[in-house]
Amino acid sequence: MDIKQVSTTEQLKPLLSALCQLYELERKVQKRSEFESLRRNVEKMKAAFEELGYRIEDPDGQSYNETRVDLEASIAGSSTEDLAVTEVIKPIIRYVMRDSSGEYTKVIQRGVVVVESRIKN
Amino acid sequence: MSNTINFGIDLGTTNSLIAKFNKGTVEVFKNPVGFKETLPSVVAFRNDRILVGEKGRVYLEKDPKSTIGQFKRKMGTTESYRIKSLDQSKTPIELSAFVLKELKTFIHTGETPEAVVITIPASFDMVQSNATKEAGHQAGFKQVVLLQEPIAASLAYANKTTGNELNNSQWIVYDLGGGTFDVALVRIAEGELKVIDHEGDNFLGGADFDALIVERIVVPAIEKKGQFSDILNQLKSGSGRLNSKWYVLLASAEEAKKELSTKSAAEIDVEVEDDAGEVISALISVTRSEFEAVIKEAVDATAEMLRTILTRNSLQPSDLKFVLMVGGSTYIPLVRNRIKELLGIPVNTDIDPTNAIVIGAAYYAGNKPLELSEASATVAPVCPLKLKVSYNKASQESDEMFSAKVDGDVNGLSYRIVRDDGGYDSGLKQLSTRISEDLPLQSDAYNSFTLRILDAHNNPLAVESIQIAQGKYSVAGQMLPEDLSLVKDNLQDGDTRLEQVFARNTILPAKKKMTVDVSKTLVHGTEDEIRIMVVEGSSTNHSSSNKSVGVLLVSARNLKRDLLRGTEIDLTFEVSESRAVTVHAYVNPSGPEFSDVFTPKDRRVDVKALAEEIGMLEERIEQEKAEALEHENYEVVDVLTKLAGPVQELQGEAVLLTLDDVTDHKYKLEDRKRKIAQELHQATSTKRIERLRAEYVEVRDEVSETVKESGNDMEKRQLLEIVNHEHVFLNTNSTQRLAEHISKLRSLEFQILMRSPDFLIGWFQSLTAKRETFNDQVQAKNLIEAGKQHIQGEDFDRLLEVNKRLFSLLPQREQESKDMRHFTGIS
Repeated sequence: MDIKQVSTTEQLKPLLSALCQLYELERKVQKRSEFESLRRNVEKMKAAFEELGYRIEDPDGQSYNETRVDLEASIAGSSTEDLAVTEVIKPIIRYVMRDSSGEYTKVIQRGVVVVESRIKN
Repeated sequence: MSNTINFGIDLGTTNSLIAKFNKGTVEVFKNPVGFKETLPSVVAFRNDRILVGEKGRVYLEKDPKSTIGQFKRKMGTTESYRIKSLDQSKTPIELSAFVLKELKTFIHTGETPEAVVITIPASFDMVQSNATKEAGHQAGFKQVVLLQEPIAASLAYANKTTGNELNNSQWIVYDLGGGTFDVALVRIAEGELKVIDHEGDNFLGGADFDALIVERIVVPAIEKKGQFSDILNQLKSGSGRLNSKWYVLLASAEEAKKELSTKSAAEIDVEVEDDAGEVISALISVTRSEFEAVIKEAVDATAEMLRTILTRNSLQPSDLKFVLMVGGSTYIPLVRNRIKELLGIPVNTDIDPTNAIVIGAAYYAGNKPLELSEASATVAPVCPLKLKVSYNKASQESDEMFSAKVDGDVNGLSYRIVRDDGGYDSGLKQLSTRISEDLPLQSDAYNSFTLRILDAHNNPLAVESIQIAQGKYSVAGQMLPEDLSLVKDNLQDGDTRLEQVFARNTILPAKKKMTVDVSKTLVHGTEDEIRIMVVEGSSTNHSSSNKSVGVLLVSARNLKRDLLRGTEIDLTFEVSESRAVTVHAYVNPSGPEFSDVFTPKDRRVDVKALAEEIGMLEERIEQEKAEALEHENYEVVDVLTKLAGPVQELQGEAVLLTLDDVTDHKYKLEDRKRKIAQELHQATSTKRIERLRAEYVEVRDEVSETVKESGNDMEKRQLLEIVNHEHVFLNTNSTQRLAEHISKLRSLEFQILMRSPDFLIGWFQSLTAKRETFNDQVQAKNLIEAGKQHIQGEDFDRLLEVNKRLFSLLPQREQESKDMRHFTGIS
């Protein structure tokens, strides 16, 4: 599939929504005791999507600065220095292309996050 | 070259857009980063970078001294903005020019327009209009034509619908966007569109509605569930304990608001810690009527402004043709209904409210002649610079320093580096004789960047590609010397095949997950087993020619219940830097987990499997010999005859080995077996390859026909992927690869056939013909009856279920084809 087509089509919306739900599901069940029994299913779903070329990237805890364009951020707190992601509303979704020379990815959904300064007042 | 302007820009207070008219249609360009049509009209000056749009918006609230938005309101005034980080001032014209220049980067057609139509609010006076024109010129447009926003929206409507007689009529354009509200009375008289009157509120829009949902609906609901003393302050204050949750709630409220345009209720998922440290998790339901109650006051205020226009112009609602809805917030049903209800004027929602203005601007531009000389429009910019770049092409770091030396006049020029995956943008930076930038890298991937040197109008003068490989592409790590493969049963040919787990030269450590199907039923408590065999050597070889790394046994003795044929087993393979291979097998979530580690020093040979393999090898030699004789291929017969003796000898020795043999004899036998297998495969490979090639072509043609007739898009793509790569595996001389692709094609065909009524009926009939052999006659009878009914009722999903159940009632020998043989028990 041509990435240009992927990026410009509205058809991806339901798929992106399903990927976001999967991410959310994983995050919710991680905190629960029954996670171990569900982990396999969640991982297999992620692997199936990855087979199709769609990868979920969790930006939680990653550093943020003004050059990152794979994230749509809201800054909480008053400082804008040494920022890191503290809340993920939507994960980053990448389209993965592979050929003999390696792997290339393209951001097809930017992560929606809240970032905060690591510097404590 | 076109002699009309064609490009239109909606230079909005909150967001801006760009579109192009081309042969009667309009394309609204998308931001190459994030793919949105809208660009927030915000400019941020962070350190030495200029960030326009989304990136600027992030800093709007928290770094207001260096980030400017809503400057459109100050167009035409003498006011300018003091930028703290630059220690200088910028005028609204300069800031608007930054936005216009950024919009040029949306154009993917490679054009550099020199003329443009820019929209302005109906309220703009001459000074403000001239200021907008000046911003256009500063952004590099030689010809700037202005168009009033309500006129643009009306043009979008007029061009979208046909047969609507608008002549000598008047209507209202109601524009409720993300942050501003405008309402205008538009009249068409003698073919000329004119804005007669207008009103507006610069501080009313969709963002205010999101905040109202949080403040009036969500927060009171949270308060009831925990102990909070001053939750709203904690959320809204920059130093508040819950400030980060404020933005999460705003985002959820926006989603809920959109949902409420089509549904009667939406849910907001909340997780917040109360004052006592208790985590409150709640799903707060917001109904459409609750939402409408909180925004009603604001919506009524807009209706009031509309009424003012009518009164001022001595008009009755019946004098108006309709109210044309523009701006994303007019999707809200209450907005539409309330205006209709309060004023009694029909509401027109025929155009896309989010981009109507820019579409109208482009239509206008498509009819507006260019006033530029051809010469001035076609001269390509000449790059007066010489660039010498230097950077590491491979890196293990998370970022890499890029530097360049620039020779030539850099005055007034800037540069920008973007990562092609859409994850990094340096922003606009002033060019000096040296460029030095830390480029962040995606791990384990090729990172491709583009450096652009830009003139004062954002037109590119030079483009340089930067390629940096991160992680595994570097040769610094320890590499795998040979392919590692999993041995699987090839049920169709009664043989085994290899599936590559790790390719040769994979950088270690490496990890991979695979799912395999159990190809025979394991009855718990018996001595039966499944073998997860890992072999080392080219994955294009036959398994018996490769070196055994180890066998993980999934034994029926350790199972609590039967492991049915078709059950999936999840396998995880890990290879450490010291090349120790760990294999984990998860039978199912509640079942046992099998795991083993094979190290290169401690080579494992399973005596039972070895004996079986030797047996299979002997049988295969005999079969091949008979076939070669039949075809009078005496050269092959000769080679195979010579192999018969050693393999019989080998079998005799293997029988003597005890299962727990501790000597190195089994390794020697395994080596000898491997050599014989290699010779056998070498002698017969030409024949097998030719046969498989012919089979592949036959299967491919058959499957192509099936896919063409009944395949869905995904299946068509899967077929195309195989066919597009066939030149590779048809020419590799690898029987394994050919067999693998034939098997892929067959599964694809089977998948489609499973949906085909004819196939399902045919299958059902062939199963019913075997009714005498079913294990459970009563159940079979019931199923056959049910199947007949499903055929009559054309319920083919249920027929498939019946077929599957009938199939499972067949005795095991019937379920397997006559050539089917299990060596590993996985396929």
